Amino acid sequence: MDYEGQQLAELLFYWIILAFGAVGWIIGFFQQDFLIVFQAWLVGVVISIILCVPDWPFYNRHPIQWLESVPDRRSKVN
Amino acid sequence: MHTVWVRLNAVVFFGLTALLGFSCLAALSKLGHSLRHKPVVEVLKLNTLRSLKSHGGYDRALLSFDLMVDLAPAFHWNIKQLFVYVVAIYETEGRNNQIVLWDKIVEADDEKVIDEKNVFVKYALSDQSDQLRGKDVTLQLQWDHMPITGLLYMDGQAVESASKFRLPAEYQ
Repeated sequence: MDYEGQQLAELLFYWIILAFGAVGWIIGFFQQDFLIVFQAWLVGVVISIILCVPDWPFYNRHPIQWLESVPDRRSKVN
Repeated sequence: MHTVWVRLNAVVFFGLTALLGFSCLAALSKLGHSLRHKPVVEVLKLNTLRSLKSHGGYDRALLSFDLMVDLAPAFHWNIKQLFVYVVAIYETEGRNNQIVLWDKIVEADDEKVIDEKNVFVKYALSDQSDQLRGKDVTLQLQWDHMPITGLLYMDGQAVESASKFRLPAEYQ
């Protein structure tokens, strides 16, 4: 996973968990049932784990551009 | 965020933190609920005084009571259960005594109307000495709210509306 991918993964699980939890909380509040909040939160966490934990190919679209390797100085001298 | 384990750790613990936040919001959403929604105790009164005896110098009374109350107003989405108990209140030499005679746990899924006649006490009305004869005793219903998250809080029947009875002046 490259650096851009790591940032993307972090933003994804952050917003997925918050969004599922918030929607669940609002529904739970009007249904007066906290179990709904917990279930919605759990769905968000499971989706986040599936989506953000494995190194999926779309996290590797910005590979790091390494510098060319410096030639060995000793080989020049000799 | 560069290995699977670091990402798994980040997701799980961010999730738990979010759940803590939602739980706190749920507790905050019902602040002051007991001020606006209070169960009304329809009936709580002495049915029969079974005995009033001295047990080695300590007075002990056994009795049964009638109870009718709808506890539904005390419940909301953040209440796991109520601990409901009957307290006998009487005074000895200017001191206020409160003794729990009976209790019951009412969970959120349970029937919330308690309508029982001639309930025998679970715990005897025992005095610390021999001061029970001829005393005026008040029966009051109290309850503890046990929330899913947040602070425990207590409430109870207004003492002024609670029923009273007088224990006999002699042992029986």
